[in-house]
Amino acid sequence: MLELREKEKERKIENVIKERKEIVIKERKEEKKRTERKEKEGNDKERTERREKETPIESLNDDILILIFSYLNAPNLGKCSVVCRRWASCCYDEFLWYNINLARWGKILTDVHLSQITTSHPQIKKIDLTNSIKLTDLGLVMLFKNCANLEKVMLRITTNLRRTGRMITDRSLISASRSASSIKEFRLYCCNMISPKGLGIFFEQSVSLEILDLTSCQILHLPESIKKLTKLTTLVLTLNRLISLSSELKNLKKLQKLMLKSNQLTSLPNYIKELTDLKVLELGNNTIQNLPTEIEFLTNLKYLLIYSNRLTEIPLEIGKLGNLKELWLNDNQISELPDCFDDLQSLEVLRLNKNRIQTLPDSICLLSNLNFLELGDNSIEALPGDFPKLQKLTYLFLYNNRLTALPEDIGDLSKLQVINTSDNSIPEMPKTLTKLSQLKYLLCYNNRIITLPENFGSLTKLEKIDLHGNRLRKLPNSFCQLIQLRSLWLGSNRLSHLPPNFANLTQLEELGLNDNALEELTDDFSNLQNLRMLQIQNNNISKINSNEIKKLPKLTSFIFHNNNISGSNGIPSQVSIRNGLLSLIKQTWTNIPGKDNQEN
Amino acid sequence: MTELGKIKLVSSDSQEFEVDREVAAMSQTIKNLLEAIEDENTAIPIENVKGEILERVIHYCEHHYNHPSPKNLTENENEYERRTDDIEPWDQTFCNVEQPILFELILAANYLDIKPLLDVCCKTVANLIKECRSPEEIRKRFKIKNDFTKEEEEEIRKENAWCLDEK
Repeated sequence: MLELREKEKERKIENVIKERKEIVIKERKEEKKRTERKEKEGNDKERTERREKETPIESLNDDILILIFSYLNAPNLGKCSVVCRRWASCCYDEFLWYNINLARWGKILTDVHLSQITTSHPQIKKIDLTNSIKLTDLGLVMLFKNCANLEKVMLRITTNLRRTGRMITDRSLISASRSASSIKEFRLYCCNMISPKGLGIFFEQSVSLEILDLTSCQILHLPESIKKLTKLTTLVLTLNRLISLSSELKNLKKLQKLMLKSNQLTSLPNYIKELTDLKVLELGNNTIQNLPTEIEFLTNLKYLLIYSNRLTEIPLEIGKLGNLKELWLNDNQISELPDCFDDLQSLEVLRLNKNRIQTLPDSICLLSNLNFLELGDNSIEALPGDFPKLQKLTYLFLYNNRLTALPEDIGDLSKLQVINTSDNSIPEMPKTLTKLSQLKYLLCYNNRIITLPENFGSLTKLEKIDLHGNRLRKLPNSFCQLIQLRSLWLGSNRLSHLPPNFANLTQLEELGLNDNALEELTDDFSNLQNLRMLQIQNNNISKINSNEIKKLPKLTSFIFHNNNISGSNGIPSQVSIRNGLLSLIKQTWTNIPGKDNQEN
Repeated sequence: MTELGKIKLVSSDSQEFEVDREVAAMSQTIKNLLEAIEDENTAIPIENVKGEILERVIHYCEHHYNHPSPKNLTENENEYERRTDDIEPWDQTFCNVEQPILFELILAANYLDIKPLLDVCCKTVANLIKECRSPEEIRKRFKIKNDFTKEEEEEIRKENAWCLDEK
């Protein structure tokens, strides 16, 4: 018992000591806090000065300074190196000058600048000289002379500056060839003074070249030595004057991208079959009349773009390009398509607009991954029966053809978001249309449509409807359910009244009801608070409630001439006083032709 | 006794901080130390960092432990130039301090090996440099003495004339 008591005593004493200790610690902490607070309350300025003596920027070691400098671009680095000795030595660190971006500097960069930079920093590996339009041979020769380890040289020019030629000649290419063995990527734009001879000399030495871009360099033909570029994966020859390609191209076995847009090529040579690694072949805007059947060997091709050429037919062999994702054949003279689409199971985008196509082959309906189909500006009279099998179809363009009907079961294309069947002779919308629950854009102007399906309003995702130039007499009552609608064009129909609750369409921004037989606008028109543009000219409207119109805060364009509004009582002059409504109202009121006023 | 899962850090001026073990382990230096010592209750001395700075560093670590930032996908978008305009708003506020504190944070982040903190502070300094139009402005802003001889300065100005013409 005694022992126990003693132990308990001990324990108590221990506890007391502990508590006291804790109190002391607490007090100390509080004292610390107090002094801290005092410090904080003390004169800030004094404190800052004291601190600066303690920790100036000099207290950072070289590694940290270099890390900071690694976030600076070349011009900033240049400035920093003039600050003091230590900064100078850090700024000249080799690591900081491997990749130099002078793109933002481009327009004012001169030869002298470039030669200064490259003399001080010969370790440059990658240099971006985008938009350096003042640069000439002098600067480039210094670049190639000083920097023996160059891997990437960018002399791109962005679109708005492309008209300017550059004073860069073969001299640059020849000096480049001396240090060319390391260059992997070389992009020259708008160097219209270089010649195939200069290119030839450069190619001879460019054994490492993987990407070559010669956009807009006025090149007439490719030198034979292009065959030396066996590591080339990308060759861009866009916007040149090539009439034919060099047969030496066939040696570029690693080529994956060949860009030949906007040249004067009349044919695609059959040795193209040797380039079996090709993934992208861009031939747009040339004068190619036919494709070689050898194209079938390019089985890795994903993008085949031959728009704006003079093709009259397509070889059957195109059907063997099983990896093709996009095929652009728009703007040619194709009248018939081969029935060869069975195996193009990867095809997602097919553009055939602006041709002379009358019928579509049945196999086109087997493109199970097709997402985008552009068939506008042709002479198509009917779609193949299996058309609704294109289950992935999202964008469908059929404008300006000779269609007299849409497929009855178009509603099976459940992914459709955009339909454009304007400028055809379609008399009615199939009933299944209303099953297209994803539809956002429905453009079907200039047809012969008399009525819309009664449950048209179930297309609740619709944002834009253009049905002008049809024969609609009324809109279905369900129309007011299209609450996402922002743009509605119903001009040049035969509408005599708007459906009930029309003013529910509060998202409407553009509304065209011109050239109909409307006698009135709904009373609660001012619910359409987002309306920017309203056209009701050429109707029989006898009364416009100007107070309703005035309540539309965003309205900037309102055209309403040629109605039946009696006298000048219909619209009081106040309307035109309101600044938001423009003086346009006054003008249109005095019977000014509509077209001139249609711009906002 | 420290709470379960917590450890004690002691700054150079003997201030003590209790921190979640996991939070403290965002510092590679502390993480290594923790692996080396067995007794959970040992206070870890952070000899090179003052209490005031350590407090800020812990604040940073706690925030980022609780709000992990999405992995930066734009990192290699432009291989020529590293971005400095991508500092998160919270970090911007955190780094908006007097220069000496910022430099002490850099030194602490470097010593404690907390890479994201080091990066964000260095980016902030880089941005301060970028705002200056001339070497003179940089010297003034960071109170740096020009220690070039006349000849040296002439020489280095010549070499960098290409970026000093800017008006």
